[in-house]
Amino acid sequence: MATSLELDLFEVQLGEVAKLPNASRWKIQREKVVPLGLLVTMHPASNPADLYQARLRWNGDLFGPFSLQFINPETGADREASAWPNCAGFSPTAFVACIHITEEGHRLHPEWRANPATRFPETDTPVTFAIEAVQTILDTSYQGRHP
Amino acid sequence: MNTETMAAKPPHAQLLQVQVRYVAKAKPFEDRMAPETTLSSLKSKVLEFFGLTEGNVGGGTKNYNFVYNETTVTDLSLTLASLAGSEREIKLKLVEQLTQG
Repeated sequence: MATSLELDLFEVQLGEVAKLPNASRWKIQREKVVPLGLLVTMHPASNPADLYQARLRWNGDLFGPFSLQFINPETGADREASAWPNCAGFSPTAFVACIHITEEGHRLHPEWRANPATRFPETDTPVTFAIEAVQTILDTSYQGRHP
Repeated sequence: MNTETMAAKPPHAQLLQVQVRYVAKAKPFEDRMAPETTLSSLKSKVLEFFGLTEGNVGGGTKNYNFVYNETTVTDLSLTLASLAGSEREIKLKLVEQLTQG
């Protein structure tokens, strides 16, 4: 359950996201059912026509690892491998972005939390960090849409 | 002021305005730097500014990369001038290298 402080910060952070240099590349929607949830339509720099809808959810701590899924924007389905980009650390058929900033990655690797090299980075901008981190992954390691 | 001193300190107008954003922090690193400054030198200053440590951390390895125009720049011998071209300012992002499971 999100605290009132987290909800307030979330609102502030959404305002900050709109000011980022990359903001024009994104379409951001609030999730209706999850207070700390966003749907972000984004594309890799190398392939602007390849649109993906990333679902970011903070199910625990707003300053901790976030859930990352890619969903079908037409149906809202979250179990479609073809809705996923092939990127470093992503396993589209398992619906897991197994990287040290995601909830799914830390669920698979609980040892990451205890290691300074792999634990979630300290951030004072959790929402902008999450969106920018996913965008950077798309920009720097995109290998096409999963079939 | 003799010529040696002038050569050591480029005129203010020749300096490049450098901004590096680390996506986890709100405040960017900003400075005016000589065009011949290498990315290696810049990286040292930037890591110190953000309080980050690279290399062996707690038994694991942590690395950070610069991203310029949506491309990861791994050659740290490059100078700011070689990236900026004719521009007088340069904006980079600092990103943490992914740890993959």
